[in-house]
Amino acid sequence: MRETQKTDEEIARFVQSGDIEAFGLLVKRYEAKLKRYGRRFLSGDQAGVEDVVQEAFLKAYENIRSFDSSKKFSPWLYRIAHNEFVNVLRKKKPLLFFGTDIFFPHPIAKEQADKEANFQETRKLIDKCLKGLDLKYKEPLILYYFEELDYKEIADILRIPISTVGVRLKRGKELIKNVCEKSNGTPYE
Amino acid sequence: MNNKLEKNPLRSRVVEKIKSGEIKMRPKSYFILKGGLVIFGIFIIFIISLFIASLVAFYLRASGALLLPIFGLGGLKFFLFSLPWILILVSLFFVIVLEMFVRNFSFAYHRPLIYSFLIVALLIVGGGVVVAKTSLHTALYNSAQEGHLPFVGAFYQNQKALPPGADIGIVSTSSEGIIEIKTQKGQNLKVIISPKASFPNGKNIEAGDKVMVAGEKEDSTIKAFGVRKMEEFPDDFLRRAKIRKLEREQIEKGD
Repeated sequence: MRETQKTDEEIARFVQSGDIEAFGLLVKRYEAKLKRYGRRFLSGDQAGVEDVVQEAFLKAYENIRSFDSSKKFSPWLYRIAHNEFVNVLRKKKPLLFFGTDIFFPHPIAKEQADKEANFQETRKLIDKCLKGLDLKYKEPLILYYFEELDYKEIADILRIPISTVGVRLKRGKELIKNVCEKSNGTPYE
Repeated sequence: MNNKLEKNPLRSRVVEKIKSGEIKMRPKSYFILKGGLVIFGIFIIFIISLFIASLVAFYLRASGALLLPIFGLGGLKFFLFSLPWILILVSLFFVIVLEMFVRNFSFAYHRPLIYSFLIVALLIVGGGVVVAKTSLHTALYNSAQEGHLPFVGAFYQNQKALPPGADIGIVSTSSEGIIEIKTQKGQNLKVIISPKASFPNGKNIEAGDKVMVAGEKEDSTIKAFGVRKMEEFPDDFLRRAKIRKLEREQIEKGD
């Protein structure tokens, strides 16, 4: 198989039919991404990220036949990783992801890609001050600004309404500015 | 350590674990069965919710409580007191459980929770009203009264009554502003009709009329703020069904 020409979904189909080496290709494609996602998600627990990511890949392999290859592979894999990261945090303290923002429709929900300069600037800011942010806002920011997933993909990973992704991103950006201001005196370097 | 492991130990470890058989891919049939169980669970919870919601509608229809809100705010207050709140709370619990199942599907979680919750609630309430109009609860009620319905029968033996102050009966005497009624339970009540009382089906009330009254009750007197004439008692359909059943049984015995 010429790995660079195949989409994730095509490779997943090979795995579903029993090709173990093909799964190795998927691990290769996503290993760095999931580690990066895990390092930001588990900001207080860096040491175990590699083990958790490995567990996520093994779970993905176990359940690969539940993947519908007519859909995108990345949100499916990120969902498994999300569950693994949440399990790690839950072992330490109870987590509450539930928010009232999933109840009602939000008019600000439309996806608007930030202008490139603004996007990079926000990314720097988030990277610097992410640790102090509530997980509910932290995760959509990581997935949008670092994993570069769209609203629908983030909604699939977190199982929340698409409009709520927009709300949490907006609120998360506002909160992170406050966090940065408190720690540095200014949100920007 | 070889070069490959140094370069990508995680990938190697994952592939090795799979090749050694330590981790096995679950068969497609596992996921089909799991999906089937979820759908079956949703179906069972939906049926239970539908039964409870239709039982609430049946109670309200048979007790006559559905007719109370026509008397205005006072009637609405009586109506709220008439509601079988325990059953409604149980039904709400099942709606929430059903909603939790439904939220696992992308068509539900992509949208605000209020939408899927309202759809689930409307399906159950609407379905409950439709089921209540069938002969299901009437048949179950009659079986329960005869003691032929274990477990579920308890639901029908403690049928919710109207709250004190709301009563149904036949007018025995009628004069200006005061009527006397004999309730279905055989109690004689004096009804003093307030000058501001509402008469949804007309003021001309005579002896022999079937009426529903609502007001402030003191011993065997009601100061009524509403009097409603009725063609028949709300639970007459239960009696008719019982008569039909007895007739059928007699015909079968005759055969």
